[in-house]
Amino acid sequence: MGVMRIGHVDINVLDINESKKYYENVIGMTVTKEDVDGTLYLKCWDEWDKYSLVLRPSEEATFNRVAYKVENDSDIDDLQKKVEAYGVSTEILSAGTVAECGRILKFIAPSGHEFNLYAEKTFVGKDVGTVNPAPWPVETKGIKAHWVDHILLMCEGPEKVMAGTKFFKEVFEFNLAEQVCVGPEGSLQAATWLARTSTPHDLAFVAGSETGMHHFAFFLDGWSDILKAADIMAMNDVKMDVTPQRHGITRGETIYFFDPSGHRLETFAGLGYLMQPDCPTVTWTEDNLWRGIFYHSGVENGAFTTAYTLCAYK
Amino acid sequence: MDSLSVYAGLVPKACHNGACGVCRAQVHQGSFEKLKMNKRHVSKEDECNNIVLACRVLPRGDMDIEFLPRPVSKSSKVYVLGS
Repeated sequence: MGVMRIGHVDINVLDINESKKYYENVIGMTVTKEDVDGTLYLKCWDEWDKYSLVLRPSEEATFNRVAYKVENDSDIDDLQKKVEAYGVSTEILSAGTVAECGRILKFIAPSGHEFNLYAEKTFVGKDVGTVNPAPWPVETKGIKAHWVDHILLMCEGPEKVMAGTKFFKEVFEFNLAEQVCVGPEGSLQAATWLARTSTPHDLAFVAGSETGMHHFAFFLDGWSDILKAADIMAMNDVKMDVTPQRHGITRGETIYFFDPSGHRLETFAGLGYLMQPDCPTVTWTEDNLWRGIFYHSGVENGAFTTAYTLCAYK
Repeated sequence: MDSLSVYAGLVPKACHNGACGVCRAQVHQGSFEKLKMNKRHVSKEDECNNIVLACRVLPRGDMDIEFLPRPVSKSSKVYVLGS
């Protein structure tokens, strides 16, 4: 089957203790592992693998890499051949190199970002278990985020957006749910939303001036959870970038906000719509760009597309 | 940062916590305390020269600051969505 879903996001933070409190008390994640160097691994209550977020104490607030989970260990070998045949060099990291994970297929995608693929990660189970489970756990703190839903990565210009999009479509069979087309007769993709699950996006690319991470998102059930999440953020003095709003693109219900290092996060609620391999691609034109991004206001919001986390120095 | 927003057009701001770097500024005068800077945007040398991210500065009186233009990257001429 190949790629199933987003597996984990790996970022650097300026104050690990402050970040720990934030992701536990506001987002509602649980620390499941801590390395001797202070690196933290966290999961949401509705996730079953050991972790979905890696926070590394650092002098930088930057993005390291994103990992996606594939279905079978043999996919690692099959996909390595496909990636290499596409002209992108790869590396296999042995089991255990990445905490709690089996073998890793590592490569720099044509978008400019490091991706890791893995088939195995230590199973710990959902907080509500699998026998007569409660619909949600009472004990969980904060906004009770269900899972890490998707990531949006910034690329150097439309050329890198198009190169990354083509690569993920052709090699990993991601489906193009939506795109923003600009330039002469809309010939350039300045943003794309790609799916492997049945939701409108598991991965998105947007054209910026430098390679980086715009945000990663946590899933919530629906609009009432978005409202309550915004209340909880205000109670905790979280800096909100965009208060509750609907996206035209993906139809998602959303809040954008920042973590203690300034990494932009999103709460994404609702299915959006059922994404399938034969679902027609939605196109947004340049003149309707901001209606696509913020459906209600339809106008630009400060530095929303131009200020974001950069990739770590290699 | 938001208290500076009476001059909204003059104050570049976004993440308020260090990651984005848009509020990189030169301090000319004034006393302040500061939180840890994001080294991706403010090097040790920058810090020695009183270059800061304004969002991580706690003024202890009136300050004279100058917001710095974003460093020109090799790809500064690429199309940027929404700019």
